[in-house]
Amino acid sequence: MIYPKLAAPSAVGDDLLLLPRGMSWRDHLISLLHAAAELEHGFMVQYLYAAYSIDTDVADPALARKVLKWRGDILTVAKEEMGHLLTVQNALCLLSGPVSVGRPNFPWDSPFTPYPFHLRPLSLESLSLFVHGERPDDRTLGALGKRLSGRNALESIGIHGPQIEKCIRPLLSEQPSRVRVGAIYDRIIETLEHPSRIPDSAFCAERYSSQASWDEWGRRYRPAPAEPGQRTPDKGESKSEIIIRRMSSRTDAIEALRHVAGQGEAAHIQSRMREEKSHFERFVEIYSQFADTPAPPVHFVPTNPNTDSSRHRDAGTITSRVSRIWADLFNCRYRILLTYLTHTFRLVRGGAGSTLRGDVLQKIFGEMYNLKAIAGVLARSPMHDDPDRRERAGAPFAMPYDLTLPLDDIDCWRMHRDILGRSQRLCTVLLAAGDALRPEGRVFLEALSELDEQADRWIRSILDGLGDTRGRR
Amino acid sequence: MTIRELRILPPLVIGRVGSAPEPLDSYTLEEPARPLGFRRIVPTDTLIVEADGTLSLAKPRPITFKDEKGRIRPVAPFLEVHAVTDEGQQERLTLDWLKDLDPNVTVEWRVDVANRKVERRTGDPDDRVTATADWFADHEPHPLQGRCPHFIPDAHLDFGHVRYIAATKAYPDIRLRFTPAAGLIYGPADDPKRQDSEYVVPGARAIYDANGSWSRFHSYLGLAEEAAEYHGGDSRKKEIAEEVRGRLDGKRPSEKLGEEVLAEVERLLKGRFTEPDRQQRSARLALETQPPSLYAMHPPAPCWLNDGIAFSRGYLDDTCDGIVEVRIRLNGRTLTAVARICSGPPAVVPDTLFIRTLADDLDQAIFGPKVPGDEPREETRARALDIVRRSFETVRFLNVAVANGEPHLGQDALDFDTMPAEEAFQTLRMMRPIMAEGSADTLAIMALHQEVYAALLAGAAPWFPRLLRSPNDVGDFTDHGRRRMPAMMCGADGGYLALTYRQITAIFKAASLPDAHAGLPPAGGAALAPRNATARRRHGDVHHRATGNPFSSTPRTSVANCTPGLELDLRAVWRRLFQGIVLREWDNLVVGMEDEYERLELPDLKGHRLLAIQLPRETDTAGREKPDYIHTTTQLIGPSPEDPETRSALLVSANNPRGLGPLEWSNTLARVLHERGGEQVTGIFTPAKVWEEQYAFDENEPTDYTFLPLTVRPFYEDGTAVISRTLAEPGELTQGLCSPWQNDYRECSCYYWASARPDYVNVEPSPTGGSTGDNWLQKVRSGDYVPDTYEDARLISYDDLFANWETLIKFQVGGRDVDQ
Repeated sequence: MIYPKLAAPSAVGDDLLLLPRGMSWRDHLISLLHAAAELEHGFMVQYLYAAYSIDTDVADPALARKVLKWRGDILTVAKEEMGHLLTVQNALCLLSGPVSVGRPNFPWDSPFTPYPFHLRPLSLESLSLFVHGERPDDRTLGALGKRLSGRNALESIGIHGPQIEKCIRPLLSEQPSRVRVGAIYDRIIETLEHPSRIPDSAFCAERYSSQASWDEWGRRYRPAPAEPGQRTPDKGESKSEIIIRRMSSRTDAIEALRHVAGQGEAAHIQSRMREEKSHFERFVEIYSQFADTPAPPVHFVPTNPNTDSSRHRDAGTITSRVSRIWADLFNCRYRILLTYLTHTFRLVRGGAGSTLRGDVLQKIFGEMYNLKAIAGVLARSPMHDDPDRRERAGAPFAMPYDLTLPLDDIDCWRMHRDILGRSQRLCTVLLAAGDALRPEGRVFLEALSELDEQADRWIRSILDGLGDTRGRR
Repeated sequence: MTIRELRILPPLVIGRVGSAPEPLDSYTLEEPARPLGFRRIVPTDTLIVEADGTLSLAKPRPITFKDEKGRIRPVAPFLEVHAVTDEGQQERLTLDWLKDLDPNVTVEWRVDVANRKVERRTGDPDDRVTATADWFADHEPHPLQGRCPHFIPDAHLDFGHVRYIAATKAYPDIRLRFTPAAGLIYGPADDPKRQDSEYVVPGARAIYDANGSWSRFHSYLGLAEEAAEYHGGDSRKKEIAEEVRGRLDGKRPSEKLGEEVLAEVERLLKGRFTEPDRQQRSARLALETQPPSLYAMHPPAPCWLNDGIAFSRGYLDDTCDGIVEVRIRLNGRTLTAVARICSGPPAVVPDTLFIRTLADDLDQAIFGPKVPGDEPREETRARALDIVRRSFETVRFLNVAVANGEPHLGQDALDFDTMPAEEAFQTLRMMRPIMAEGSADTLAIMALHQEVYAALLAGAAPWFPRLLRSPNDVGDFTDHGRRRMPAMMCGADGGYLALTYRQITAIFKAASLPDAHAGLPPAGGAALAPRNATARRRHGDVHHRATGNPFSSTPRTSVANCTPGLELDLRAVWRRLFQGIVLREWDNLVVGMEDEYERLELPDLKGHRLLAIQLPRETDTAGREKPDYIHTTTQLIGPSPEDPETRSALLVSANNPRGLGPLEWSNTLARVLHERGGEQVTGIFTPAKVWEEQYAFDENEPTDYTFLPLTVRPFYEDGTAVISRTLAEPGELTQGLCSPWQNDYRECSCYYWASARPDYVNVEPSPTGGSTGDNWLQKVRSGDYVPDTYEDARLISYDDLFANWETLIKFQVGGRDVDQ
């Protein structure tokens, strides 16, 4: 455990000694929430990368079904991590703190991470880490065992436990005893629970309308309502639930964060979620199947792909000229997504900018689809322009240098337009690549260019509305 | 080569009305120059019919939809005769070929069309308007003059004409052209009930007596009954109540209520109804269409905003549908073939295809609801892509924020005709937006659909099958159900629109395919099974575009969510799918028995309901037999007030105590047709007549029902792609449509066929987010969308359309108004 359990507050003043130097309890809480957001973001991206690395083009129909299910399950977990990320942002909104969707680049290790974070293709190694990262504490694991008696996941952890241990030991750097991901939520909740540390006045219920809601983001990822006359939804078609909780009070915040922590580890499961598998269980199941599959089909993509300059090249550096531009385009669209995401928290639901909020929200979903498409293209593109090498490029998920929004709204929109312009230029360069471009890549770029022209018209219209007169075409 | 059989292709062709003397030039619709753009209208060779009945060629020229006088150019399609040879090949038949085989060959045509819209509402066969061009072999135009026992003496209605084209060396094929009518409205002469604001039917088109049954028709009996007992504060109902009571008190009745209705109300309220009366009344109520009162009525209209009062103006349009037959006497043999024609309104958005078209339903009737096992995967993926393309083409013309059920500039969303409002009326529940308010705007949602399309183009497999609405779940009005795709639009059953099973399974199948496999050989090889070869040929025939025909003559340009539809009401075709019984087109009520029912050993089931079809039992993997039922109704559920997210409640009401809704036939019967066409299944009926309420089959208590053997008729005539004549006689495929169709353009709002009868046009991004644009029916294009309240004078009114529809209707190309 990175954090010893906090003692209950005693006298005013003593408590401050438990804090990092120079911080108030609110500061500390916000820094913890930022750390939690980074973690959730990091998990999400690792899972996306692993899912995109799966090669679904297999001849054996049974294997094809199996790998499609792996991909679907991992993507579902990634979507749920996105929900966690948004819920954490909502908590930051509630505390009037700055939203934070940034994270360090890969590789990334810190006392908060349950293992050093890397972008790894799907393998027994990466799955071991995912299992480890989502593993509940021993007490919860025991409870889970009772609940899951006879289920594959538990049997799998029993069978594969030593293998997993063996696999992850060398990967944990010099800290074999790492934190559980839930530990940071334990600390956040402990901090939140005490009014003497976080007084009621710290909570800004007015921010409720800026917070992300399930209605906006959930996209039906939760079980259908129970049949008439029934009280509990049948898990039915929905194997998952994206948790996006809004909050207006301390009680709401604690409840929401407990729920988020529980979804990963099954530690604080709500009654309606009893049939839903935790992330831990899902990864154990995939691990088990993956281990039993001879030559599981995975693209030969690198660990930590990047487009770093020649001075900083490493084994993950994509050197193929065209693939590098695709990777740059991926990073550019990733930046667009994160910038829009940050912006949504400034745009109030139901207020003057509510339509803009809706527009931006749809753009974010659109960028998710773009990332999916480009990640697929990269996984089929050469990493190097050397016909004898069979490595494929991968989606680099590089963080932009900064995600801070400018002060004025008008400048935010100028920034969106500027980033979009970079993407448009990358598309133009790629489209000039001639035969180096696969047909599906070309048609996608043509479509993306059209979409960007539409988006540019949209942003220009907004800038017009804001009275912008600079740099007009 | 010996000619074995004949075909007329296309087997179903759509003519479109217009008064310009020169028909619309031929064009095809091609993929856009850029992936997300509008489809390209590409002119092709146009065949001009000369005075002597021969053809000449007009080279491709820019397409103009109206002539210089603002008249709409009709779509006048050709029908070609093809020969099936002994070798099984299908080839265009030429006169030279025939003469080579037999110099004395004769080629004759016959055409039977009808307009049965009035008959569909009154139930009186004497309201049927029929026209026949009896066997002819010349090349003169043969007018299709519609006549009807209820027309005033010597009156007729002009459905257009047909002409056998004279073959020449340059154009030797055997073909016929159908030129539809001008799109005129016919009606009663000097109607004393006509209000000053109403359109005046010119004398030349006065075909009805103003006191005739159609001019005096109404469909508000239920309301009058209710109103007679009314003591509330609603002024309109109060007025009616007073009139009804006045009648009952022996005072002079008001002219507002029909004598006939009052007489019935009187008998009803005085308890003097005998059982035969009741049966007769039920049978009359059973004639109600869905949606109800689909005809031009005296103001105020529409009826659902005006207490359901719907007095007919007695209007009828000049559209029709029917059968074309060709008869060739060759070497002592007589070869024949048939095809179907229909005429409908113009395709006003010619560069756009709707999400679910008639072609989708016809294809489902050919291939069944599942993806054929031998369908190459690139074809499946292409079909999935096409569906997604059509989804954003549809969204383009839908004001999504309004259709979502949101207020517009502070105006109450309940004032607008939308699917959420329709749902609220139907279920008697408060109205709620479908998606989160403020999250849905046309441009943003269209772009999102385009992003999906782009990702699929890049090789991603569809990841969204679970978002699609199952045709069985159209009654799920929880947010979970309402947010399924396609969203915000109405299906043929009045619930939220679902795609065909065949469309849905294509997307599911594409989702299971590996990413970006373009160019890979088809799984399992390309050889087609013989059974599927027939299906493929049928499919080719359905999609055949005869030389010279504009693309808008094809089923791909006709909407399939027939509520009631624009060109055809495909719901009508399923009514006689089971031998012996006639079903209502929009639900499971048996409205008639065929003459042969006793021979089939069926009891008289009129008034009963067909609740389910039982297919032969299936055997599960453990070898156990289990019943296989296909239900014809669905449970209506909505969010539970105690916890809308996690619980649901039955949507019951006084009119619908079981909370049930009908399911559209096309999807419901797709499996029955595909698996058991021509064979016997078991129909499960109510044991008694249930005229007015929906009823369901309870699988857990399968005892209190009547189980009867039913034989499933084939959908297509033997070996051909012609919808069976047994299933629909001339006039029946259009009988459920609005009378006149112009009424439909006024009443069927954005949530029906956004890309066929558009809602939102000239759309641009708004400086405050979202979009601006015009309502298609807006008289002045201001860029400020006028939501449809049916009262706003800024919108084209019913009478504007009746009087001047050709001038007022604006074609849309590239999402913009075009003058021509």
